[in-house]
Amino acid sequence: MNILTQFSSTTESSGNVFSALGIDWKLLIIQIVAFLILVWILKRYVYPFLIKSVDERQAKIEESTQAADNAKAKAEAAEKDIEKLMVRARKDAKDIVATAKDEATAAIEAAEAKAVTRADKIVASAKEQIDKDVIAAQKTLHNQTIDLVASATEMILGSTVDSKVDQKVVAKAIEDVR
Amino acid sequence: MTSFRISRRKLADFYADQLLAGKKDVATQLAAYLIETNRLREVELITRDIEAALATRGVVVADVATAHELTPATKDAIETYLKRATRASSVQMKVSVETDLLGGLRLKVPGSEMDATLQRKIMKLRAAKV
Repeated sequence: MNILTQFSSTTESSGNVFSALGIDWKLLIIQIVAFLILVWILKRYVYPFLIKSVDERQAKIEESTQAADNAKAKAEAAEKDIEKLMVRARKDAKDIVATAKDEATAAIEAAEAKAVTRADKIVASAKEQIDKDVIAAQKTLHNQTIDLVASATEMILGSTVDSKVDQKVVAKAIEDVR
Repeated sequence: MTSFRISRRKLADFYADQLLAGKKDVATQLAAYLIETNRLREVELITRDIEAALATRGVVVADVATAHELTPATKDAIETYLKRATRASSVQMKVSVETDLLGGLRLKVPGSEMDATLQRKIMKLRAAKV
Protein backbone atom coordinates (compact mmCIF):
# COMPACT_ATOMS: atom_id res chain seq x y z
CA MET A 1 0.00 0.00 0.00
CA ASN A 2 2.86 2.23 0.64
CA ILE A 3 4.36 1.58 -2.69
CA LEU A 4 1.18 2.53 -4.47
CA THR A 5 0.78 5.65 -2.63
CA GLN A 6 4.46 6.42 -3.25
CA PHE A 7 3.99 6.02 -7.05
CA SER A 8 0.93 8.13 -6.86
CA SER A 9 2.61 10.81 -5.14
CA THR A 10 5.55 10.69 -7.60
CA THR A 11 3.27 10.96 -10.53
CA GLU A 12 1.60 13.93 -9.18
CA SER A 13 4.89 15.58 -8.71
CA SER A 14 6.55 14.70 -12.05
CA GLY A 15 3.93 15.36 -14.66
CA ASN A 16 0.57 16.81 -14.90
CA VAL A 17 -0.44 15.51 -18.26
CA PHE A 18 -0.26 11.85 -17.24
CA SER A 19 -1.78 12.74 -13.96
CA ALA A 20 -4.55 14.51 -15.68
CA LEU A 21 -5.14 11.43 -17.77
CA GLY A 22 -5.06 9.27 -14.70
CA ILE A 23 -1.91 7.41 -15.75
CA ASP A 24 0.54 6.42 -13.21
CA TRP A 25 4.01 6.11 -14.64
CA LYS A 26 5.25 3.73 -12.21
CA LEU A 27 2.29 1.61 -12.27
CA LEU A 28 2.43 1.70 -16.02
CA ILE A 29 6.01 0.61 -16.12
CA ILE A 30 5.32 -2.10 -13.64
CA GLN A 31 2.42 -3.21 -15.75
CA ILE A 32 4.52 -3.09 -18.89
CA VAL A 33 7.23 -5.12 -17.24
CA ALA A 34 4.68 -7.49 -15.92
CA PHE A 35 3.18 -7.68 -19.34
CA LEU A 36 6.55 -8.34 -20.96
CA ILE A 37 7.24 -10.95 -18.39
CA LEU A 38 3.88 -12.43 -19.13
CA VAL A 39 4.62 -12.29 -22.84
CA TRP A 40 7.96 -13.88 -22.32
CA ILE A 41 6.47 -16.58 -20.19
CA LEU A 42 3.75 -17.18 -22.72
CA LYS A 43 6.26 -17.21 -25.52
CA ARG A 44 8.58 -19.44 -23.62
CA TYR A 45 6.14 -21.96 -22.19
CA VAL A 46 2.69 -21.51 -23.67
CA TYR A 47 2.92 -20.37 -27.23
CA PRO A 48 5.19 -23.20 -28.40
CA PHE A 49 2.61 -25.72 -27.27
CA LEU A 50 -0.23 -23.72 -28.70
CA ILE A 51 1.57 -23.12 -31.97
CA LYS A 52 2.64 -26.72 -32.11
CA SER A 53 -0.91 -27.79 -31.45
CA VAL A 54 -2.20 -25.40 -34.07
CA ASP A 55 0.46 -26.53 -36.50
CA GLU A 56 -0.42 -30.11 -35.88
CA ARG A 57 -4.06 -29.38 -36.32
CA GLN A 58 -3.33 -27.43 -39.45
CA ALA A 59 -1.16 -30.29 -40.68
CA LYS A 60 -3.96 -32.68 -39.93
CA ILE A 61 -6.42 -30.45 -41.70
CA GLU A 62 -4.07 -30.15 -44.66
CA GLU A 63 -3.51 -33.87 -44.54
CA SER A 64 -7.22 -34.45 -44.43
CA THR A 65 -7.72 -32.02 -47.26
CA GLN A 66 -4.98 -33.75 -49.18
CA ALA A 67 -6.52 -37.09 -48.39
CA ALA A 68 -9.88 -35.77 -49.48
CA ASP A 69 -8.33 -34.46 -52.70
CA ASN A 70 -6.58 -37.75 -53.21
CA ALA A 71 -9.79 -39.62 -52.51
CA LYS A 72 -11.62 -37.36 -54.90
CA ALA A 73 -8.94 -37.90 -57.52
CA LYS A 74 -9.04 -41.61 -56.87
CA ALA A 75 -12.80 -41.55 -57.08
CA GLU A 76 -12.62 -39.70 -60.36
CA ALA A 77 -9.98 -42.13 -61.63
CA ALA A 78 -12.10 -45.01 -60.42
CA GLU A 79 -15.09 -43.52 -62.13
CA LYS A 80 -13.09 -43.21 -65.34
CA ASP A 81 -11.89 -46.77 -64.90
CA ILE A 82 -15.45 -47.90 -64.29
CA GLU A 83 -16.52 -46.04 -67.39
CA LYS A 84 -13.74 -47.69 -69.37
CA LEU A 85 -14.66 -51.03 -67.90
CA MET A 86 -18.28 -50.42 -68.74
CA VAL A 87 -17.35 -49.53 -72.31
CA ARG A 88 -15.19 -52.61 -72.56
CA ALA A 89 -17.87 -54.71 -70.91
CA ARG A 90 -20.47 -53.41 -73.34
CA LYS A 91 -18.11 -54.16 -76.21
CA ASP A 92 -17.39 -57.62 -74.83
CA ALA A 93 -21.08 -58.21 -74.28
CA LYS A 94 -21.79 -57.09 -77.82
CA ASP A 95 -19.05 -59.40 -79.10
CA ILE A 96 -20.38 -62.26 -77.01
CA VAL A 97 -23.89 -61.68 -78.27
CA ALA A 98 -22.61 -61.50 -81.85
CA THR A 99 -20.59 -64.68 -81.37
CA ALA A 100 -23.54 -66.38 -79.75
CA LYS A 101 -25.74 -65.29 -82.65
CA ASP A 102 -23.18 -66.62 -85.14
CA GLU A 103 -22.89 -69.89 -83.23
CA ALA A 104 -26.65 -70.17 -82.94
CA THR A 105 -27.00 -69.50 -86.67
CA ALA A 106 -24.33 -72.09 -87.43
CA ALA A 107 -25.99 -74.57 -85.08
CA ILE A 108 -29.38 -73.95 -86.68
CA GLU A 109 -27.92 -74.34 -90.17
CA ALA A 110 -26.15 -77.55 -89.11
CA ALA A 111 -29.37 -78.84 -87.55
CA GLU A 112 -31.27 -77.93 -90.71
CA ALA A 113 -28.70 -79.70 -92.88
CA LYS A 114 -28.83 -82.72 -90.60
CA ALA A 115 -32.62 -82.70 -90.68
CA VAL A 116 -32.61 -82.43 -94.46
CA THR A 117 -30.14 -85.31 -94.72
CA ARG A 118 -32.20 -87.39 -92.33
CA ALA A 119 -35.37 -86.54 -94.17
CA ASP A 120 -33.73 -87.51 -97.45
CA LYS A 121 -32.62 -90.77 -95.91
CA ILE A 122 -36.10 -91.45 -94.58
CA VAL A 123 -37.62 -90.63 -97.95
CA ALA A 124 -35.07 -92.82 -99.74
CA SER A 125 -35.66 -95.63 -97.27
CA ALA A 126 -39.41 -95.29 -97.62
CA LYS A 127 -39.08 -95.25 -101.39
CA GLU A 128 -36.88 -98.32 -101.28
CA GLN A 129 -39.37 -100.05 -99.01
CA ILE A 130 -42.22 -99.06 -101.30
CA ASP A 131 -40.29 -100.38 -104.31
CA LYS A 132 -39.67 -103.63 -102.45
CA ASP A 133 -43.33 -103.84 -101.49
CA VAL A 134 -44.36 -103.14 -105.09
CA ILE A 135 -41.99 -105.82 -106.37
CA ALA A 136 -43.26 -108.25 -103.74
CA ALA A 137 -46.84 -107.39 -104.64
CA GLN A 138 -46.06 -107.85 -108.32
CA LYS A 139 -44.46 -111.21 -107.59
CA THR A 140 -47.42 -112.25 -105.50
CA LEU A 141 -49.82 -111.12 -108.19
CA HIS A 142 -47.72 -112.89 -110.84
CA ASN A 143 -47.69 -116.12 -108.85
CA GLN A 144 -51.36 -115.90 -108.02
CA THR A 145 -52.13 -115.24 -111.67
CA ILE A 146 -50.09 -118.28 -112.69
CA ASP A 147 -51.83 -120.40 -110.08
CA LEU A 148 -55.19 -119.13 -111.22
CA VAL A 149 -54.42 -119.66 -114.89
CA ALA A 150 -52.99 -123.12 -114.21
CA SER A 151 -55.94 -124.13 -112.08
CA ALA A 152 -58.41 -122.74 -114.58
CA THR A 153 -56.58 -124.41 -117.46
CA GLU A 154 -56.52 -127.66 -115.54
CA MET A 155 -60.26 -127.46 -114.88
CA ILE A 156 -61.10 -126.48 -118.44
CA LEU A 157 -58.85 -129.13 -119.95
CA GLY A 158 -60.23 -131.75 -117.60
CA SER A 159 -63.74 -131.08 -118.83
CA THR A 160 -63.07 -130.25 -122.47
CA VAL A 161 -60.32 -132.62 -123.58
CA ASP A 162 -62.10 -135.79 -124.60
CA SER A 163 -60.66 -138.77 -126.38
CA LYS A 164 -61.06 -137.20 -129.79
CA VAL A 165 -59.27 -134.04 -128.83
CA ASP A 166 -56.63 -136.03 -127.01
CA GLN A 167 -55.83 -138.03 -130.15
CA LYS A 168 -55.18 -134.76 -131.92
CA VAL A 169 -52.98 -133.59 -129.08
CA VAL A 170 -50.99 -136.81 -129.15
CA ALA A 171 -50.65 -136.63 -132.91
CA LYS A 172 -49.49 -133.05 -132.66
CA ALA A 173 -46.93 -133.99 -129.98
CA ILE A 174 -45.51 -136.73 -132.17
CA GLU A 175 -45.49 -134.41 -135.13
CA ASP A 176 -43.60 -131.81 -133.12
CA VAL A 177 -40.84 -134.18 -132.05
CA ARG A 178 -40.25 -135.56 -135.51
CA MET B 1 -30.59 -176.36 -105.18
CA THR B 2 -27.38 -174.40 -105.42
CA SER B 3 -27.69 -170.84 -106.63
CA PHE B 4 -25.00 -168.51 -107.88
CA ARG B 5 -25.19 -164.78 -107.82
CA ILE B 6 -25.16 -163.54 -111.39
CA SER B 7 -24.66 -159.90 -112.26
CA ARG B 8 -27.65 -157.87 -113.45
CA ARG B 9 -26.09 -157.21 -116.82
CA LYS B 10 -25.52 -160.91 -117.47
CA LEU B 11 -29.04 -161.70 -116.31
CA ALA B 12 -30.45 -159.03 -118.56
CA ASP B 13 -28.47 -160.22 -121.59
CA PHE B 14 -29.51 -163.81 -120.94
CA TYR B 15 -33.17 -163.11 -120.54
CA ALA B 16 -33.21 -160.71 -123.49
CA ASP B 17 -31.82 -163.45 -125.67
CA GLN B 18 -34.37 -165.91 -124.25
CA LEU B 19 -37.24 -163.54 -125.00
CA LEU B 20 -36.02 -162.94 -128.53
CA ALA B 21 -35.75 -166.71 -128.98
CA GLY B 22 -39.46 -166.90 -128.27
CA LYS B 23 -39.33 -168.77 -124.99
CA LYS B 24 -42.50 -168.13 -123.06
CA ASP B 25 -41.60 -169.25 -119.55
CA VAL B 26 -38.79 -166.78 -119.23
CA ALA B 27 -40.67 -164.52 -116.85
CA THR B 28 -41.48 -167.38 -114.50
CA GLN B 29 -37.91 -168.53 -114.61
CA LEU B 30 -36.60 -165.10 -113.78
CA ALA B 31 -39.08 -164.66 -110.96
CA ALA B 32 -38.09 -167.99 -109.45
CA TYR B 33 -34.44 -167.08 -109.66
CA LEU B 34 -34.96 -163.76 -108.00
CA ILE B 35 -36.98 -165.27 -105.19
CA GLU B 36 -34.42 -167.95 -104.62
CA THR B 37 -31.53 -165.56 -104.59
CA ASN B 38 -33.46 -163.09 -102.47
CA ARG B 39 -33.09 -160.33 -105.07
CA LEU B 40 -36.69 -159.27 -105.41
CA ARG B 41 -35.74 -155.73 -104.60
CA GLU B 42 -33.86 -155.61 -107.90
CA VAL B 43 -36.88 -156.45 -110.03
CA GLU B 44 -37.26 -152.89 -111.32
CA LEU B 45 -33.58 -152.55 -112.11
CA ILE B 46 -33.34 -155.92 -113.79
CA THR B 47 -36.45 -155.18 -115.85
CA ARG B 48 -34.88 -151.93 -116.96
CA ASP B 49 -31.65 -153.70 -117.80
CA ILE B 50 -33.53 -156.31 -119.83
CA GLU B 51 -35.28 -153.54 -121.74
CA ALA B 52 -31.93 -151.89 -122.40
CA ALA B 53 -30.52 -155.22 -123.55
CA LEU B 54 -33.49 -155.71 -125.86
CA ALA B 55 -32.99 -152.20 -127.22
CA THR B 56 -29.41 -153.04 -128.20
CA ARG B 57 -30.84 -156.00 -130.04
CA GLY B 58 -33.32 -153.88 -132.00
CA VAL B 59 -36.35 -154.41 -129.79
CA VAL B 60 -37.56 -151.37 -127.90
CA VAL B 61 -39.96 -151.63 -125.01
CA ALA B 62 -41.75 -148.34 -124.56
CA ASP B 63 -43.97 -147.19 -121.73
CA VAL B 64 -46.73 -145.06 -123.18
CA ALA B 65 -48.97 -143.15 -120.82
CA THR B 66 -51.98 -141.14 -121.96
CA ALA B 67 -55.11 -139.64 -120.47
CA HIS B 68 -57.44 -141.53 -122.79
CA GLU B 69 -57.39 -144.80 -124.63
CA LEU B 70 -55.37 -144.58 -127.82
CA THR B 71 -56.94 -145.34 -131.17
CA PRO B 72 -55.19 -147.92 -133.38
CA ALA B 73 -54.16 -145.14 -135.75
CA THR B 74 -52.52 -143.20 -132.98
CA LYS B 75 -50.79 -146.32 -131.71
CA ASP B 76 -49.44 -146.93 -135.20
CA ALA B 77 -48.22 -143.37 -135.42
CA ILE B 78 -46.44 -143.71 -132.07
CA GLU B 79 -44.89 -147.02 -133.08
CA THR B 80 -43.68 -145.57 -136.34
CA TYR B 81 -42.19 -142.65 -134.54
CA LEU B 82 -40.44 -144.89 -132.00
CA LYS B 83 -39.01 -147.15 -134.67
CA ARG B 84 -37.58 -144.20 -136.50
CA ALA B 85 -36.31 -142.44 -133.35
CA THR B 86 -34.65 -145.53 -131.85
CA ARG B 87 -33.86 -147.25 -135.12
CA ALA B 88 -35.44 -150.37 -133.68
CA SER B 89 -36.73 -153.23 -135.75
CA SER B 90 -39.52 -153.95 -133.32
CA VAL B 91 -41.37 -151.84 -130.74
CA GLN B 92 -43.31 -153.27 -127.81
CA MET B 93 -45.61 -150.66 -126.23
CA LYS B 94 -46.89 -150.89 -122.66
CA VAL B 95 -49.83 -148.51 -122.79
CA SER B 96 -51.38 -147.17 -119.62
CA VAL B 97 -54.13 -144.66 -119.03
CA GLU B 98 -53.60 -141.93 -116.42
CA THR B 99 -56.41 -139.40 -116.33
CA ASP B 100 -54.25 -136.99 -114.32
CA LEU B 101 -52.22 -136.37 -117.47
CA LEU B 102 -55.24 -134.46 -118.89
CA GLY B 103 -54.05 -134.99 -122.48
CA GLY B 104 -51.03 -135.68 -124.66
CA LEU B 105 -48.64 -138.56 -124.00
CA ARG B 106 -45.58 -139.57 -122.06
CA LEU B 107 -43.08 -141.94 -123.68
CA LYS B 108 -40.39 -143.81 -121.82
CA VAL B 109 -37.82 -145.87 -123.64
CA PRO B 110 -34.57 -147.17 -122.25
CA GLY B 111 -32.28 -144.20 -121.86
CA SER B 112 -34.75 -141.45 -122.61
CA GLU B 113 -38.15 -140.02 -121.80
CA MET B 114 -40.48 -137.65 -123.58
CA ASP B 115 -43.23 -135.90 -121.65
CA ALA B 116 -45.69 -134.13 -123.93
CA THR B 117 -48.64 -134.25 -121.59
CA LEU B 118 -50.86 -131.30 -120.77
CA GLN B 119 -50.19 -131.95 -117.10
CA ARG B 120 -46.49 -131.38 -117.77
CA LYS B 121 -47.25 -128.11 -119.55
CA ILE B 122 -49.30 -126.90 -116.60
CA MET B 123 -46.50 -127.92 -114.26
CA LYS B 124 -44.06 -125.90 -116.36
CA LEU B 125 -46.45 -122.98 -116.16
CA ARG B 126 -46.56 -123.32 -112.35
CA ALA B 127 -42.79 -123.59 -112.28
CA ALA B 128 -42.61 -120.11 -113.82
CA LYS B 129 -43.59 -118.66 -110.45
CA VAL B 130 -41.03 -116.34 -108.92
